[in-house]
Amino acid sequence: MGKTRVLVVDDSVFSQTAISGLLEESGFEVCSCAATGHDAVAKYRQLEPDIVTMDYTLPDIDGLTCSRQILTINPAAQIVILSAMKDQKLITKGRALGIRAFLQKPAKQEELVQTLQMISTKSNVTGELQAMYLRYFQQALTENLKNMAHIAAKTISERKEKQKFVAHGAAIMLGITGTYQGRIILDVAQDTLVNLVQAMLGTNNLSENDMLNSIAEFANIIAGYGVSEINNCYKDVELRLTPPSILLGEALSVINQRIKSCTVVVETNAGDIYLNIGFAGGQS
Amino acid sequence: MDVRLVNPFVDAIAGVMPQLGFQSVSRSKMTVQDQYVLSKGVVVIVGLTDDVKGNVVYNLSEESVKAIASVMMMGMPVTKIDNMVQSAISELANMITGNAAVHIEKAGFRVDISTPSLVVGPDAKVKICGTKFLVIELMVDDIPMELNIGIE
Repeated sequence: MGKTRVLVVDDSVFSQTAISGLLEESGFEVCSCAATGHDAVAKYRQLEPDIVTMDYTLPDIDGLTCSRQILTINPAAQIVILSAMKDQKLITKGRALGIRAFLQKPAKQEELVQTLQMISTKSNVTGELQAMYLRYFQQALTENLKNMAHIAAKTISERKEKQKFVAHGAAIMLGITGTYQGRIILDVAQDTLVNLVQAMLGTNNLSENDMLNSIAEFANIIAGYGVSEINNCYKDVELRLTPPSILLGEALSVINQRIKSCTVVVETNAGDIYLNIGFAGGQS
Repeated sequence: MDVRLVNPFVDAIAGVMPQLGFQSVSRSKMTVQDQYVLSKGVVVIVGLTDDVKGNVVYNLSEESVKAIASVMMMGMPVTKIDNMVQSAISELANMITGNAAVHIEKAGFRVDISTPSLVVGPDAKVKICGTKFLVIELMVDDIPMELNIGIE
């Protein structure tokens, strides 16, 4: 099977060079670069690449107009917007056109490669999902810790798990259904739970039940943010969440033999927070 | 909780268990709880979403898990809860919930189920969020089995 061929559309020579370098290092073939929208359309017609990475700001026409012209030539064209700007308006308009994914510059190599692998028909998506989607949940966690609890968070480690996730005291689990099956777990030790809820609600005079409901709602918000962002950014992906359940106990293991998962450990002054995301792969 | 959502689970168990080699299913008790599911040894959680949202928690002792897995594996002796046994019990939860989902859809509600997660550990307890839950205690042949159904 040949390499996946990519056309890089960007008016900056620096970005063209950087993106091409990242892709070629990762086994893609960059068949050409285009600096204008019209050049991109001409090269798409001539070279028929598997995937196009598209900047939004181009000197002649914008990236969405250029994408529309390419999609007129080939309605099945695989286009990823890779732009300094990634706002809701752009995503909404782009999704309506048929853009496959939206990434923000500067894209990390891993993020870019995993996205292109996922939309490339030459790759197998199974097993790569959790790593790719993890960052959406990680970002939702960091932002909501800041907004809801005024807590700064720093990711201190990231690891792949096998079939088992070992929890630390209170683990809130939500199932993921839809295009892919999976689950998300937000896990904290008992004292971190108390600190977190206190930081969020400004009181330590709460029953255990109220504390658990508060942390479950926090996990629900993070999972909801992450899933919404993924659904927005990836065409043809529609994930849904099942309601949270809370697992309590020392050294609990959550086992799912079909799921490969990733855990990030986030350090905060309330204590460490463990965020575990796993997917079983393609839809059954 | 809507009673129309309970019978599908009872029907699913009655339909699925004989296919796996069990001879009889009898219901011993049904109660409503609003606190925790206290693990008897192994719990399996399956989430529900769409028109019907909630969680189903299967709660089994280690002895029940081994006895059920043994029947599911054509009578093979089961002395410890290894990967194969965990897989069998997860699949049982998946089959029962999946069958219940089909019955629920026939009643006019859309429902989607998550992949089952199995939880083990000493003194584990599970809180089903946002709702009271129904506890159905069953005897499958001579093996006790408990289902906790919490639907919002």
